[in-house]
Amino acid sequence: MNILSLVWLVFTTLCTLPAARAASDPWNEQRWIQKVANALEQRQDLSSTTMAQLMQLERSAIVAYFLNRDQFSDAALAALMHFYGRDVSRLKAVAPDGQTSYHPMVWALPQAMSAARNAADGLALDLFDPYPKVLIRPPTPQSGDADGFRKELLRRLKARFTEIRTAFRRPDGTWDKLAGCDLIPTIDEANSGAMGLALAGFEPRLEKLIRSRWLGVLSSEVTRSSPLAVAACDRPSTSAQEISQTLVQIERAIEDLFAQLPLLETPEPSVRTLRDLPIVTVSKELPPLLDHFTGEGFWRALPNSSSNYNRKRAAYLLRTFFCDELGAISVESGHSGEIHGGNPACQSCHFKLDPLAGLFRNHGYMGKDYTGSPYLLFDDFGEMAGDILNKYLNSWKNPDDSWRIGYYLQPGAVHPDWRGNSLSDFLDFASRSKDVKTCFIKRIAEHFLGERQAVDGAWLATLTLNFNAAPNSGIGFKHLIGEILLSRAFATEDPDFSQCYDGPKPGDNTAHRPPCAVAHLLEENCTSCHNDRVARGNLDLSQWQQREGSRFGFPHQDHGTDLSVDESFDRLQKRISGTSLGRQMPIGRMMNSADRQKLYQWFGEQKASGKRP
Amino acid sequence: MKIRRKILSFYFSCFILTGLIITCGERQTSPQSSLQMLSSTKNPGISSRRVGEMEGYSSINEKLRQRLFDIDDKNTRQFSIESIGGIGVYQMRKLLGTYSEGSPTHRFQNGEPNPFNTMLWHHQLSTLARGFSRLCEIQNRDNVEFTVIDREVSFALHPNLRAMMPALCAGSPSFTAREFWEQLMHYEAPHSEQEAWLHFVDHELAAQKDTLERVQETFTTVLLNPYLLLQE
Repeated sequence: MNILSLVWLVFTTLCTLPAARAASDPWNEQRWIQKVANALEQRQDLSSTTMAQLMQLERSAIVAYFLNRDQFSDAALAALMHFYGRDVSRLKAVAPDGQTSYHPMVWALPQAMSAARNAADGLALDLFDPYPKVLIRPPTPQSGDADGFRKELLRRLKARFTEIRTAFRRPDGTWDKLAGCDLIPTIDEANSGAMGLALAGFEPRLEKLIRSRWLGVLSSEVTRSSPLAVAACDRPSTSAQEISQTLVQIERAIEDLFAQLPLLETPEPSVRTLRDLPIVTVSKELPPLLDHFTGEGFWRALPNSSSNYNRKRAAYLLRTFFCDELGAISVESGHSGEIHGGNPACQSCHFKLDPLAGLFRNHGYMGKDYTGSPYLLFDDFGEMAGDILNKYLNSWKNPDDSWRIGYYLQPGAVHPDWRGNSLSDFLDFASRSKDVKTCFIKRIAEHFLGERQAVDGAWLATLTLNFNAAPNSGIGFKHLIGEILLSRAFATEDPDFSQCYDGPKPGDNTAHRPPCAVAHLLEENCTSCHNDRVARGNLDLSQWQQREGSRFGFPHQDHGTDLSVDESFDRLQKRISGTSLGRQMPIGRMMNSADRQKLYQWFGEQKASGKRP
Repeated sequence: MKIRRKILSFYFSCFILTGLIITCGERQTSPQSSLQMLSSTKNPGISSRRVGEMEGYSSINEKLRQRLFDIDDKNTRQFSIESIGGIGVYQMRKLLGTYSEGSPTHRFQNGEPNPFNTMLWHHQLSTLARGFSRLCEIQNRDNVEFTVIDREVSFALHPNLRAMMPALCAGSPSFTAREFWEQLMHYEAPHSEQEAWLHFVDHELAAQKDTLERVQETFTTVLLNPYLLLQE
């Protein structure tokens, strides 16, 4: 962490965060400290001595104390994995001897580990970096001489790779042109060349990764041009020289990787926190060793099929990166025709699902990239080739031959910042997207406050502003967690889940403010046209008033007559979905789908509340 | 006499269990936990209550490891409740509150307290408590190890707990129930909850003549407290 970052963190933590110390009740203060320690994975370190010392500090200083310990990296990982919708406990392992460690290579979303480590080190999160840092348990040499062990291992590997390359070189110095079937044993040989790493003290998963990610490149070289022909062994093959060049690249990458790995002298390295894991960076000449969409964490968990294509994967992207739970909402169809999901009734989900599913259009069985291949094999073993494959791919094309792929806000309306049509384009978009950042902040708050706890959008917006103001996203993330832990919602014992404890900024006028579940959404999207001064459509969405008995609603008139609460919410629901009564609201403003769903659902709940006994 | 004690013990367990279910089941409407019910006359103003879901299998295991056993002992990291109740408990962990497996997103499931998962927790934790009570049968308690029932692994007690055990077993006035509570509960329960429990220990458990049952119930009544088992 550089000096600037440190100064900023200390300053903001100690000065700008609200110090809500309740020293008048020491028991409550101890309970809160305990809760903070639990939340930051440090409950085991909270001795009575430490507790007594912390009791002398302001709350902001207490949070800073926990945030600046190594164990914060574990808490950061847990929070980041929650963003990805996963529970961190599945990444931890307890060895038979009782040693707790993280998985040496995390198959599920390794970016979270890299980002957590970055946050602990005061660096930018780089959550969408396609080449994340690899955190790996230090390998243990079998012999005491660590340096000699490393050299011997690399010598054996190089010898094996050289042997394979030499096998393709003809005596006259030219390269053999090999048939597909002949290359399969070659790849097997390369694989066997990498074998023995685990036996030699390296983690078995490292060997697996090298095989699947880097040596898998060899398979792609062989099978890319004509996968169907591989089985028949009757196609023109990739040249042996191409294979050899790839082998050289792989050899260099492995050598570079091992050169970075520290070898421990002790047989059982103690990994207490994420910060105990050495960092390894990998060659960018080859595919990333750890992909964002990993085999175990993504491709296998979300298989595609020849009938449903990749919609499960699209749903995962919407849920994870945009907090879009695909709630039902009626919207007008932007197009119709033969394309699946073209039916207006299905459009409420398919208008956004299908374009995102297009990102995976070339990925087949086990996530294999079939780009350029004349056929595609799905996870359900359904195959497509020829005209059927062309029709499948063209289902993501507009009449002008442009792609209909990306993050769509409304039927036919892609997000203005969207560019491209590949998964890497998606990660690039995600790293810039305001919607993704808003979802990220929401998920982190949810991780520490509980999924059921209501939070005010205005508070989340403030958190987002502060996150953006930090020198880098890693420092911003740490500060964000600090703010959440210092919130009233976190401090409240057994909170009421339906109540928002942290609202708009102090001093803001909150009289007649709509319920916190939607107030900020209305302020952001609606009240500029529907307020107490400019009430377009005779609707004022800034005033939440008691209307009929105990029921609340908004001032809403039609031709000078007050609408009933039920009628008002019914119209609001229809206008936000745009199925009837005119154009879809808000006019002239891009509202993301998750926010639209939330308003639609809330209007529906208000309408239904009048029907309850 | 023995039978009478058994019956009393059974009723006590049922009382705790029922209290837990009522507390959890009624959630917003029930103002008191089981232990608060025990001494409601002493603390009539108690209004705090735990309303969340069960903390779940992993979290409770972690709590038990950290609070009952010596964290520096290499076996401690291996402790989990199936060490006591057998592998069947592990197979039933999904009923105790776990994150769903086999889907791309993990969802905490079966955390909502219900009679069945409450019964399972009661069975496991009272078995654990019974194991602790048997330590009182060991004459030399200088280096007490807690040996589980069905595996040949022993777990060293947390140093604080180890120091408390002789006085607890002897029913000695030197046993400080407050420290015992803090060791197991930390600061997760309100002060009033601790006071209610201390009142219960002083007035109800102190009268219990059977050492093993008294020690078991001392553990059980903390381990089964909603403030230990439930999320906020």
